[in-house]
Amino acid sequence: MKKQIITSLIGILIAFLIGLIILKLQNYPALESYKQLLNYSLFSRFSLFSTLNKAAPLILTGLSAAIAFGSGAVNLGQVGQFLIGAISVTVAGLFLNLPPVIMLPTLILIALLAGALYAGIAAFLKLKFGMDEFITTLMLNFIAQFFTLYLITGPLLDKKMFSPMTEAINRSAWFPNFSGLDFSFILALIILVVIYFIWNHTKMGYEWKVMGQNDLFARTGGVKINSNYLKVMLLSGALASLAGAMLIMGGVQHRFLKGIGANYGWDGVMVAVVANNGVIGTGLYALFFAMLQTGAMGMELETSVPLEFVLVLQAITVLFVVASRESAHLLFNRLKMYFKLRGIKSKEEGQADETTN
Amino acid sequence: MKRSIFILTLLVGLLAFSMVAMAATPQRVAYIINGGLGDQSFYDSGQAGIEKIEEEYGIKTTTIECNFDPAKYQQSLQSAIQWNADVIFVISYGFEDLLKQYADMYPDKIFVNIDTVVTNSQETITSIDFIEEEGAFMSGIVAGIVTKNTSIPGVNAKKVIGAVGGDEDPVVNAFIYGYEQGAKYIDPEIEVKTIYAGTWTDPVKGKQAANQLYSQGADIVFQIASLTGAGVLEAAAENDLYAIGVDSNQNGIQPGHVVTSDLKNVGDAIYNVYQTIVEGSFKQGEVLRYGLAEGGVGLAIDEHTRAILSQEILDRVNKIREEVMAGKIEIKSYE
Repeated sequence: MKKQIITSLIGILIAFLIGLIILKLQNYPALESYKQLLNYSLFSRFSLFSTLNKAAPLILTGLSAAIAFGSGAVNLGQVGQFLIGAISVTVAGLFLNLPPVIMLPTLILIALLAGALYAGIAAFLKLKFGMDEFITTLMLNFIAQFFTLYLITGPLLDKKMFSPMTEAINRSAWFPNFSGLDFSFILALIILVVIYFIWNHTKMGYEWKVMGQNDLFARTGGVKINSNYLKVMLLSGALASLAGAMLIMGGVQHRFLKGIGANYGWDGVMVAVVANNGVIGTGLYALFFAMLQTGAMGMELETSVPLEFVLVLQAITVLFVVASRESAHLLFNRLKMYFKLRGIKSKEEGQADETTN
Repeated sequence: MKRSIFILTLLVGLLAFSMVAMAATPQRVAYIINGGLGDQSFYDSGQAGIEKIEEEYGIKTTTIECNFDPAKYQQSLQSAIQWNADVIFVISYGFEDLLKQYADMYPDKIFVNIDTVVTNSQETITSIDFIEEEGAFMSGIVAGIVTKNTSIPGVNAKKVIGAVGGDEDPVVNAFIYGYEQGAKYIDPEIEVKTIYAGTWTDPVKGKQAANQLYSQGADIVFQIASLTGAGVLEAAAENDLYAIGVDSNQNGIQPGHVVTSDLKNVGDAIYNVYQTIVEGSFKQGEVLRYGLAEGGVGLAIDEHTRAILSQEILDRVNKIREEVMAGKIEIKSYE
């Protein structure tokens, strides 16, 4: 655990250092750029809150990927499940109108169910026909993309608006906003804690982890692979779907607009990969990437470093952390061994000294 | 009592003074666009205006591109505010709600929305609205004349013209509505075929759409699709047929194949509005309409046009233009 955090921090640090060199080589004010990056993402209430708001869906798509990968299920359908969650909440929010106390939990439940069902299709195909979920989830992404595009340019189109989007959902379905901080973030934190508990403190979570590390061992040990696989896929789909719901219920627009999925799905996969499918790590990296993406625009405004630079920074972080994870652990172990050995050696020497005297 | 009145007048005076000082020369101008630069069309036209402001007034300007990524919409407005922009020109397709919220939150900033009309509850957003129907009507006139004139190389006998739109939205539809009226003014039998590419950033899709229209007998295609439209112009060159550009002068992009361009002088409009801000005649919350008469829209006629169209045709187009400006020809607006 500690080792993981240290390697992550070193990875981030080195990414920033390499970024510094890149900036310097291109004659940009490097330190000033970093300062502005932080200024626009952390050092004022508004910028801090926008970072947190942006992190909320990322945490969930990240968890969705982490849980699936950690249990040996390759769910790459976050993009599609995200959109299905968003559109189901939009439809429910347009046609249902209940008091907020009932409305909000209902819609959250609808989102969870819709995503679980959508991921369930892939799980069903795997269990029934042995089709690899790696392929089916990817293909279901396209179906979700074009299906939602059809809905927002056809039956659900708000004709008064200037670009394809639905009408705003009923007010009772809007998440509360605490002077800039969206309820989405709080919800994401709650989910994170729940998942952490399931992952680390239940029998089910243990079985999932074992499945992820060694399928055969799990089977021999009496783990019901199929039913556990199904559970993982459903949960993973539900989480990605809830991320999509947040974008509609939270924020300002409360509409499903064209391209709303942006990069949340794939960024989630990236976060999970960097965090090595750890729950806490996923949360931290989601925050880190959200911070980079939030501050990027301000950095471009102040020092005219193109905002795409943060993509470079992200890529270096991913590459470095993932590539160095194993070797860093190895290095840690070597160092530990070295100090231990030295301790033994000096003791022996001490003993030797005593005898010669 | 007297003293408090004195303080009050002082305060009011100070306030008025600071307002005048503020109105005098805004130091920082931000240009926020939902799309991206480099389309040689709509967004680039606005950018030209921003650059002109920077050059002539020596102030700081910045351009924020969202590249059609909804995740960046709020960030763009937030960053512009934090950057201390005094004037924010914004093309707000897709984040009108956000723009309204920010304008309500920062009533002392000048928000100028371009191309559509957006009204916030405090009515502080100024909108620059172009009368697309008028410019597109003139494109329709040219397209109608071209498709009927079989002496122009490549033009077939079918009375079919085409149009490629980005998304189906009220602004694109206004374009096509005007285009159709122009063509029908030349000959009511002319048929207009329209394809919506569904994207503003994919020239390949634009090219496919245009090829489809050409194979259906269209000899000239009007593109209203930003970067997607670059593919339309390319298709015109490959089929040895004709296209009409949009927003900026695109005649030179595929010389000999882009007959004319339906200009939308976004840059000029931005520059003019900035000028009124500096001069103090600017009114917050106004809707400024730019049509043919105001020079907001119109056709780009240059040497590339003359290489394709004879002087006789150009005279006819010009005559119709004058009639439209004089109000002799009525152009219906979309919805």
